[in-house]
Amino acid sequence: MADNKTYRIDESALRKKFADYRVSFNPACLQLLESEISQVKTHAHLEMPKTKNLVKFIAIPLVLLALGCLAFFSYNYINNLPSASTTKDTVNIARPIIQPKIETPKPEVKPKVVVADTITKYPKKDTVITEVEVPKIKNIKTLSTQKNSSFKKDTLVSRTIIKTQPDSVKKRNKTDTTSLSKNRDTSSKKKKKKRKNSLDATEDIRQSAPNSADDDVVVPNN
Amino acid sequence: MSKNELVQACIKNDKTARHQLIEQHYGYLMGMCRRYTKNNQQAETFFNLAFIEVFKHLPEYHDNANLDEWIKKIFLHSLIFQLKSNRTEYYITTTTRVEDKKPHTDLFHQSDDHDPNNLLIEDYLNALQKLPASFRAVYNLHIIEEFSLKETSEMLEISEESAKNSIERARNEFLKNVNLKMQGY
Repeated sequence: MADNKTYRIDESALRKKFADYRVSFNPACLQLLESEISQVKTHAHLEMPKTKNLVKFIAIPLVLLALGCLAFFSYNYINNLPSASTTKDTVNIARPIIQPKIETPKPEVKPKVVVADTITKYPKKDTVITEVEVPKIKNIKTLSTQKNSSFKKDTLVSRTIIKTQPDSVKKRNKTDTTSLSKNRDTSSKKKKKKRKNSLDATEDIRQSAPNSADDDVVVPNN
Repeated sequence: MSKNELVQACIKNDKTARHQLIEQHYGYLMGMCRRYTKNNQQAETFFNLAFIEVFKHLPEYHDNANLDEWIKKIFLHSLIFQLKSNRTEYYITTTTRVEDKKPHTDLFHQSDDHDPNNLLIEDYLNALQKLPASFRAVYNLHIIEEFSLKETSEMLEISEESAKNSIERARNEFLKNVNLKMQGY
């Protein structure tokens, strides 16, 4: 069995070989090359002009031209500016238009008139009406007391009425006398009604107990 | 005629001066073209195109510069450009491997009779021409022209990593081709 040796291509030797490699001249290639070269014209290399010449002949005239244009246009612009106006220096400020206030009459709120009967029909829950069988005279007294209590209730109602009164008072100031007179009428009517009620009550008592000893019972007039 | 005079005559569109310039640089530049191309026919077309580029840029040539180096530089750039412009050849490399078609060759275990360094230059050239275009360009630039990895990657407009990777692959492929050449395939 033959011993195998490792081989590598000697690249430096190869380089030398290729460097010395020359191909013998072939005159046929000249004709071909000549025909191709004749087609391609050799043209001189274009050199850029020197910076001094560039500045002299191009940059300075350009700058001058630009400046001239600028001056010309700016002069024209200033000339063509609109002339100063002859308006005053002061400025008239428009006064605000003050319109007189038109007092619109406020809608009249009619005072609430509460009739005592209606109130008595619906007594408050808190009030307890005690119905106790008492002798007639006492009954009259109780009636009076009941009336007092009813008055108390009325007072409550009257409070509510009084609350509504300021509207009417204000209206009085505004020379509205109609509501005032109405109120007066309603109060007088109330008093009359109350009196009537009390008189009716006494008459009932008299009718119910004509033979009673205590006829001279004084009924409070309230 | 000195080199500068020759250049000036070429700029003035002197035919004889142009012929002289071509004749002077033909041997080396055609060899270079053959390394970068897949066959001699392609090398000739690339040579013509590259020389046209040289004539175009002749007015840019300064007297101080080395004319041979200057022409070589223009040639190199022109060759890479032409390689890359042939997109199907350069970018779409064949994925079929050499060993699939041909008998297996051990790259590192060979007998004395098969020393890869004892081959003719034409055999190496053939092995190089069989490489895919991208590998060929990388191998030429980095190994034969001795450009650094960074320079190679910049010239081919690829990353250093991919340049490194393709150099390794190109080395292996080249060695395989050389071995196959030695075996008579």
